[in-house]
Amino acid sequence: MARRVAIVGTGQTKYVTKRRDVSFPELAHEAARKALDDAGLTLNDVDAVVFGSAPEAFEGVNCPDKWSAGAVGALNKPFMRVHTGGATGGSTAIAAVHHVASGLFDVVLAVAVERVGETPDAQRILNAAFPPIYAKDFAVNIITSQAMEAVRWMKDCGLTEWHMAKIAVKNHRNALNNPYAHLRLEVSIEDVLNSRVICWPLKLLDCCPRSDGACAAVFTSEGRAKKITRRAAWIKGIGARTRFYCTGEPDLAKEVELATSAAMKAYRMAGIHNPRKEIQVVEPYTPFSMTELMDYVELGFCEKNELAKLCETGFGEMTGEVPFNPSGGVMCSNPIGASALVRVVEAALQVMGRAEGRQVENARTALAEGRGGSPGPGVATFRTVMILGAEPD
Amino acid sequence: MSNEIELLEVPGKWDISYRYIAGETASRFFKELKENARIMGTKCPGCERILLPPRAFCEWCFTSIKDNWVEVKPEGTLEAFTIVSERFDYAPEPPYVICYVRLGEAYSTIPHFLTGIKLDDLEEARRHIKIGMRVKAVFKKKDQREGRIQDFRIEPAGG
Repeated sequence: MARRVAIVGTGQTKYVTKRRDVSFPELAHEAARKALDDAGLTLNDVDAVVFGSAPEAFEGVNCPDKWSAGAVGALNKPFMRVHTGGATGGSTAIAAVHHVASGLFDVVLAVAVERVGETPDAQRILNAAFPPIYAKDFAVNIITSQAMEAVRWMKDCGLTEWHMAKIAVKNHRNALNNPYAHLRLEVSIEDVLNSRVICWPLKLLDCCPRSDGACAAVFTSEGRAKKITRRAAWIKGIGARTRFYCTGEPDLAKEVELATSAAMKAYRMAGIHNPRKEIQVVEPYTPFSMTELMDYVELGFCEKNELAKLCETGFGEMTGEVPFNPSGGVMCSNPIGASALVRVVEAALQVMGRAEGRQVENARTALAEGRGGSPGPGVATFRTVMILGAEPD
Repeated sequence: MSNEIELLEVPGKWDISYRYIAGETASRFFKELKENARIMGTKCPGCERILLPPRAFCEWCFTSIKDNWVEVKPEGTLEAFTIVSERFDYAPEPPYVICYVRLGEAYSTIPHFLTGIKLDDLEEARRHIKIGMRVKAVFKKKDQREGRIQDFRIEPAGG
């Protein structure tokens, strides 16, 4: 990287179904304010703002960036909105890193926000994200397309609904340690297996909620970071890849290879050769239980033929080899456009030693993932990976 | 003034109509379905993939392929599926099966409904749907075809 970049302050709002006391820009402002306060900075210190917000049809306000710019500190400053579907928060973080690494800006505020609670028609909106010419007729949406991916992985890796339920139980339990989490449920494997079937094999407790919320982080240059705090989170590697689905890859192996390349890019930049040994905690972008299992393979932590075993032996548990989703993850809180920035913030808190009840011991290196879009005809999907470390070197 | 206020929600609605431009390639695909009950894809001379539904460009080779039409056999394999139990208001009444199907020698799969499977017992139905099973495309009669993907349905091959 041209210059080292660190996160020196973060802010999150508590994720809920509906924040009835604030308007959309006020929600974004809350997180932006918290991040600046956390860094001990004021608006005068901020050189630029990067703003992430995903499908505006959720808010039903075209160009939410125009509405929110003042709320997120952009007055008299350069401002840019970033949008890559569910990966928006990750791309927002990457854009902030680019701003600082380029040497053109020293302090950049990244803010991402979503509210999903103002319309009952969330899946209809997601269906509208599939191109109108070939896809709309089929009620393809995020849940149905993820369910279809899950069916393929079940077949290829010998996974069952029990494996998915084990992950769901873990993540829901982890969220109990996260004061910001939306869903905080103690559930058993039976509870998950008996929950309402949405699209087989996905049941209600395998799926993420819809959340209102905002998240922000202050990215600075090395020089500024060292003046602000002794416990910064250093950006060690970034990777981003785009896949274009000409409607479903017939070869699952090729699909995994494409997904993994974003992670590999980030590992190369961070000097990581064996992620399973060198990364202590992962905040993946996993809105469904099966997605976390896919990530064990796609992020390079194991091969497909080990996956079922790794799940059975609790690989990603808080006490496991590499904790995944100590915050509960996207399965427990999903303010869509913000969710991938929340992963970055949670990973940052881990390496700063500030994750409180959800802290993983000796977390020196963490991975934050963003995932946008879903398999479907003629659509792209976006993958972002960011590696954060406790030290600049 | 009292501190208790009623938190308002202001109603709104986007009621916007569109006429989406399908483009020449998609238009020809739909015309072939309607007039000739033929499923046509476009083939890239570079990577040799047959893309279905057809596109004017290949995103791997980044070239135009809009003149390279090939016919695709109306039979193939089921690559993925899900049985939808939840009601979505823009979708059919559940339960129904959505799948991705690879027809003929097409590289890519198309989404469609899988018909011809009894769905009164979902556990039983799941035993009859297998990734890799052979399926076929069955066209409607000409006077019922509209130039849409639903001009044919997908059902298990071999009865």
